[in-house]
Amino acid sequence: MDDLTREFLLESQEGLDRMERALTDLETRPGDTELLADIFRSVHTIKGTTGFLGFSRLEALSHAGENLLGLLRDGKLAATPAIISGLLSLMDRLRGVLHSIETTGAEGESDAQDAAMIERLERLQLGDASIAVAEPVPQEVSVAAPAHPIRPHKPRAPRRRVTHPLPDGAEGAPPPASPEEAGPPREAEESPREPAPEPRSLPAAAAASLPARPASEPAGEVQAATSSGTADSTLRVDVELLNRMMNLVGELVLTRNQILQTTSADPGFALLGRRLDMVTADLRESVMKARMQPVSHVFSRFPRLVRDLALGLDKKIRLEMEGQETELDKSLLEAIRDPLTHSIRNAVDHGIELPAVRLAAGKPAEGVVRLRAYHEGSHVIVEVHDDGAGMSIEKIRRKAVERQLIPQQRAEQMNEREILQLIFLPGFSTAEAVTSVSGRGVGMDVVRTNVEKIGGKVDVESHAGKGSILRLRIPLTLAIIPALIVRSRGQNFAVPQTALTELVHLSAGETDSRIERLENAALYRLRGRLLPLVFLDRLLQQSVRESHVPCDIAILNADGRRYGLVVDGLADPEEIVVKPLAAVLREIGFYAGATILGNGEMALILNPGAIAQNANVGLSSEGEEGLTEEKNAARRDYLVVEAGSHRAALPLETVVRIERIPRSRIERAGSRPVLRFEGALLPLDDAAADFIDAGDDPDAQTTVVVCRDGRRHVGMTVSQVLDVTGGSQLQEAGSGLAAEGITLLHEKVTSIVSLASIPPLENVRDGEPVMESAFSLEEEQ
Amino acid sequence: MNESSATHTQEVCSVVVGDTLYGIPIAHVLEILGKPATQPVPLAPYFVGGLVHYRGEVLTAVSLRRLLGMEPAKTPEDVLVFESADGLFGLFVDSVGEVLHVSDTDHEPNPATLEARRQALFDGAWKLKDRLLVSLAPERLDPMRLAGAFPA
Repeated sequence: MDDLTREFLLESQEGLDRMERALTDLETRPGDTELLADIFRSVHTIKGTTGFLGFSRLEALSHAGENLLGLLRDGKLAATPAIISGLLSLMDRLRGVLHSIETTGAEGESDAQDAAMIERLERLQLGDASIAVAEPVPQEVSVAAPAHPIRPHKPRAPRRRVTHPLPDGAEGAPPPASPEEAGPPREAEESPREPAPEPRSLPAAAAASLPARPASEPAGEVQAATSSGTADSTLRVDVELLNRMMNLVGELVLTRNQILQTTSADPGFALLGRRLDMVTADLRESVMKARMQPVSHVFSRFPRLVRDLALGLDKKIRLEMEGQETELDKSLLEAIRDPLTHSIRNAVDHGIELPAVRLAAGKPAEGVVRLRAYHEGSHVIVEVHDDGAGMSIEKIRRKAVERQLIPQQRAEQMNEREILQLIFLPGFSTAEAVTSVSGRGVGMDVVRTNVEKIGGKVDVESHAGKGSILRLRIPLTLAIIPALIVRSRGQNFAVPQTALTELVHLSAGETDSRIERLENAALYRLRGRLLPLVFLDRLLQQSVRESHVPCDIAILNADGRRYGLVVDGLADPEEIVVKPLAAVLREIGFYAGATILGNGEMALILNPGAIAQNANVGLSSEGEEGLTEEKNAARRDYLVVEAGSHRAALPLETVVRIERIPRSRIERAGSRPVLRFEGALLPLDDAAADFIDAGDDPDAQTTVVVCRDGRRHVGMTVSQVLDVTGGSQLQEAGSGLAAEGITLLHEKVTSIVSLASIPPLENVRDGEPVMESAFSLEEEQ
Repeated sequence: MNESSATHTQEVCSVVVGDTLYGIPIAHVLEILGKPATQPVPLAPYFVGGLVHYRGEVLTAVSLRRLLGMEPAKTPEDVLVFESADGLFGLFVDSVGEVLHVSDTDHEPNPATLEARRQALFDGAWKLKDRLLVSLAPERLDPMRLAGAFPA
């Protein structure tokens, strides 16, 4: 395929996308002339270019559409749903032909369906009899088209020609139509076209047949000027080139790291090193940005989808979209296209009720599906919200048991939130009947798998009678992922953080007693539940380590499979740049890629999902174990710390992170000890004040546990973090009332730290008023 | 070397593996990496020597020693970088020597007595004054091709 055709395909596809959006908008604003002009322009551009390239079938189709649109634009015909449906199916047809050109290089023979399509559009034009007379005869198109020389004869046109909104010379193909057919936006380009028909790229015959055009309307000129303005300031770049740039920037980052490590006596060198550091960081950011695209690229197809589905289901649905400008890496955008489509289908089919049902429930007949994208930390959240009936917990419970996805007994014990998670199990569907839209039991599990594949997460929320929300949490970029570096037999491996849930260290003495065996299967008892273990050294057939050495277990959750990966040791977590592996190594299956670490060493990136499958780790309903425990008031997990000289417990779900800081960083705001932490002030517990006055060794360190207390964060200074363990609720003898503030840990009564006892900063009275910045609640994973 | 010969001569990069001298047309060699850090890949096909880092990319490098069924090298090896249809790849050799000029008239095809695997890998040899220079064609060393030709 030559460059010209490729560009044409790209442009036409974009044009069709734009048109589809405009057409669905048109349905709500039928009289909007600007929209009509926009649609007309898109079709016109396609028609013009096809004639120029000799695609007669496309030309005939788009010509018929253009005629109809001309009438609409001039207000001679009103945009009825029938007309819009007709135009939408025309677009599907055009897409089909474009696809055929893309795959086979030829547009294929025009068939009866084409004729039927053209006839349908013609009939629509006759909708108003008074206009019908003004119609140009479409048959002439087919006569004109074969007169065009076939592509190979034509010298490759200079690129510049194609990027213009319209290669006007191509206009020559169809006979000049009624004056109103000349699209207003075209007119601005008329003048440059006539003096320079550029015959070097155009067959003489086509150039000669250029019709003279009537003068333009001023409104059209303005539009054309703005659209060409955008074209001038943007450039199409091959993704490959961007990938290459990304690689080189990664290389530069490594070189920079090495330079920074090189100590030099020359102070000027250090300064240069810092400059290099800054420039490299900026460059990396710019290249990443270049790969970003607004989510509107994916969203744009949904109005059409919702419209068609709603029509088919006899529902009234309005699609609202928010945050379309939110940007995401191109490859990720592609990856969420299918999961999102699935989710929207679900919302339309299962979520929104029939108008009569809605009215009976006291809701407006028209349902709303809201699609919303926004940033949250280093993630983009895409929400699909519907104001339908919500999901029936009982129905999900019943269906899950019926389909034998979970045992009856377990289903009865599960709480609402756990039940909702069941919809992500493979084979789950509550649909009573299989419709063309959904109900075949492939759906939500595919959504989850696809989203997890790119390091994202899916969450669902449902309110009976009010609707449900599906939330996709997508990392900003795939090229750089947070990972934990683990070591096995002297080699580095990277484990993506998204799959990691917790880490367990076993000392030399514990390996035998804590790792239990059931025949060949190694198991670890994690808070009372048995967790299958996979030994990385055995899996990869490395030399096997002796059994009495300390090891670490990385507890992973991949695609709903939960297991412990046993490794020799842990290194630091790192943001890694993912490098692809050669095909021969991809085939092994356990590696998702390779990376170069900050110290210049290389590491293979493990694929936790593939490892789980290979080791036959089953899908566990315990995958949601974390949720159960959170809800289970009688048994909670605590971080056991040593504060001062006594043991204390912090509820684990409140712990955000644990930091080692020099004591000298603790400062005083008013009478309260505070810590400047990530650009905000963190109030600390009373004991921290002692460090300020101690003033002994400025290098002495202390540990601060950052906790979440409601909407704010607070810090607890502790001398040591001891353990994470489950604690049981204690009851007062006799009354049976739950004891507050204490719990039973390792058979010892331990007090629970009350975070509320750390006063908020606004209570500071004396001294300077302190601004408590809204401490971000979104910790970065 | 008879450079005076009117026939076609070319430059080849000489490399040593074990006791044998091999020659690879210099035009195919993208770069020579001197004793780079390498990363072994567990479970990889036997002929893969490991990964090497080359200009921001992670390359799969084929080990000529492993391919020929020889003992692993005792000292760090050099890597030659080539380009194939599947992307870049590397080749581990004991050491890289000087560039030699060889003439087509000195080239002889593989002897029929050569073992089958080496028949498939070698592209004949050039007769130097005092020894033979075995010709290697990089396209025969492409890991994708090797995976098809010599499954483990």
